[in-house]
Amino acid sequence: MNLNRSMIFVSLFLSSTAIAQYVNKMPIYPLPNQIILPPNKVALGERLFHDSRLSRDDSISCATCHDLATGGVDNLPFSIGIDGQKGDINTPTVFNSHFNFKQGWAGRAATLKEQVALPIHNPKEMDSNWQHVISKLEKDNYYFKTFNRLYTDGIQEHNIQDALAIFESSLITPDSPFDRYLNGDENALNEPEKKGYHLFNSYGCISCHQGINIGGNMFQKFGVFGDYFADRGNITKADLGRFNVTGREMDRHRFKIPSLRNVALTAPYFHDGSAATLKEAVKIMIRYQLGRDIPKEEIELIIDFLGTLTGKYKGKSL
Amino acid sequence: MKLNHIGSVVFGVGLAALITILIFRHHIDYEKHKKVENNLHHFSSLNAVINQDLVLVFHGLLENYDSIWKNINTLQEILTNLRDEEKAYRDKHAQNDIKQAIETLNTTLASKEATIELFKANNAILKNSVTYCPSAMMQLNKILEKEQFPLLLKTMQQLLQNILIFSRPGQHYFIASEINILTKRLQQLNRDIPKSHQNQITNILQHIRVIVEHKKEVEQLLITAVDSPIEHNTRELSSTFNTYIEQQIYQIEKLRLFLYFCIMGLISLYNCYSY
Repeated sequence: MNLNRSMIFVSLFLSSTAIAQYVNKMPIYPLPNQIILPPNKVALGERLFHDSRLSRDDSISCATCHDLATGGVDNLPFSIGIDGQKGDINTPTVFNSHFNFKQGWAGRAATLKEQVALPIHNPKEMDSNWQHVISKLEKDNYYFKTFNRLYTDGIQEHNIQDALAIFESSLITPDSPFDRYLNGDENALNEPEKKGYHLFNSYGCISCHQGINIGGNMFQKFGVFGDYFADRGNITKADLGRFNVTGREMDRHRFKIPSLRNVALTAPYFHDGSAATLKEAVKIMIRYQLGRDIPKEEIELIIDFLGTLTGKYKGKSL
Repeated sequence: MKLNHIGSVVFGVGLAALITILIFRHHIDYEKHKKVENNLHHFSSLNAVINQDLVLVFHGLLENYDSIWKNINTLQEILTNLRDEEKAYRDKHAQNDIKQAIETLNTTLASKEATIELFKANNAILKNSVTYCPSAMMQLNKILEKEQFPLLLKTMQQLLQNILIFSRPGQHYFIASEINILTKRLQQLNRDIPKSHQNQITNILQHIRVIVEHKKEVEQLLITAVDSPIEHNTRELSSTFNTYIEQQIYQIEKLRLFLYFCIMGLISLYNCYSY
């Protein structure tokens, strides 16, 4: 009896492992419901994320541009940084950034920890430095006590980076209708949304927007079928994309494929914030990346599908 | 006699202290060495997993790139760990040799990562065109059949057949020249048909060009990534670590021998004074 029961458990375990392996080989697979992270560090990181003392004049926090109430972005083509300065590139969402293979449009940072330092030092964003930030945080009793409790060496730049990166890793948005559909709930998507998913597949969007984050795992040239930048005009340094990081000619106009999770909330689109609506963005993608024309009704169906990628944060729909 | 006795005790204690210092200066941290070995073994096996995943992606058996980038990140983490181990070597010569071997491996990994990135991007473009092109051609063929364009239809059918064969993995480059001839013919025939069809054919020709150009490139990138000398460089690094561990062991052996003679000498000295 006991042997039979163990055998059932073993076969269930083996089959679940096999299913997990199979699912992970699919083009898109669902987000986990949670990631195990140290709760004290998440809380510390959350406080830092909303703390404007990270900027030179205490005016800008991470949350200023990455507003968690609006899909982790500020819905502006270019964010407004310190002294009212306009940024060079559209702010990507902070939600699910844990699942991106590199951070930023050009993949400037390899990890979230590395990424944290960039806006702090950017003269158009927070225009500060670690020494300045640490001296301000040391005066705060909460930070002084908490850092000393959680880290052996107290308030240090690598610990600030660590706490912020851990909090950002906690910003995941599971349980979207599409995740539920992938988990086997056939009714999670309605018919137009299912058709939209089918078109998303058959038109080849899925060639780049794939993996757990439906993007965020590769770089791609913007303008495979046609010169997007020549057509748009007014080329800026930010338009050079990955080239700005590597200096390699092959990386010119190459960008990290953005995640499509919560995409319905993160307008305007692209690194240049040039597409004000999802419809515009889909049209540009179909023209320059897929090299084809598709009927208007089908664009609407794809947009219906993209709407199903909006997940939940802390149990509430975004 | 008493003074001599004290002298021998002082001599003995001094010698013991010297030996203790020498032993502590030259002790071997086997735990650390095991860690290095495990890291290198892990590095090697992850590199093999990446190669396997690349081949699976190429054949359409793995449909996302997540496992590939995660494993590359782990390789970079292992290299960071190995850099920390290198600092533990006090011998400057050893430190330099290990540092150099790690940097060589790091450069090879960076180059492999760049190749993989290009492979991923070009493979996605190829996949898009390979999926779309035949269906677009079949759709147009149906229309051409109805509207009576026999010559154009025949060219399209031949081209479709060649594209389907060419798209399969393997060396089908001899078909590329045939595709080239057919596309040129298609371009000529494209001038005498309605505008709407002309646009469709132009679009199909664009995708055919993508398939022909990217197929060879993707296959080449796959070979370059898989053939990267990472395995060789990992073995080199492993052998560099081992050389210095062996040297340390040899030094310890010499020290043991020296210690043995010292103890023997001490015993003899003690015996001399005792009698």
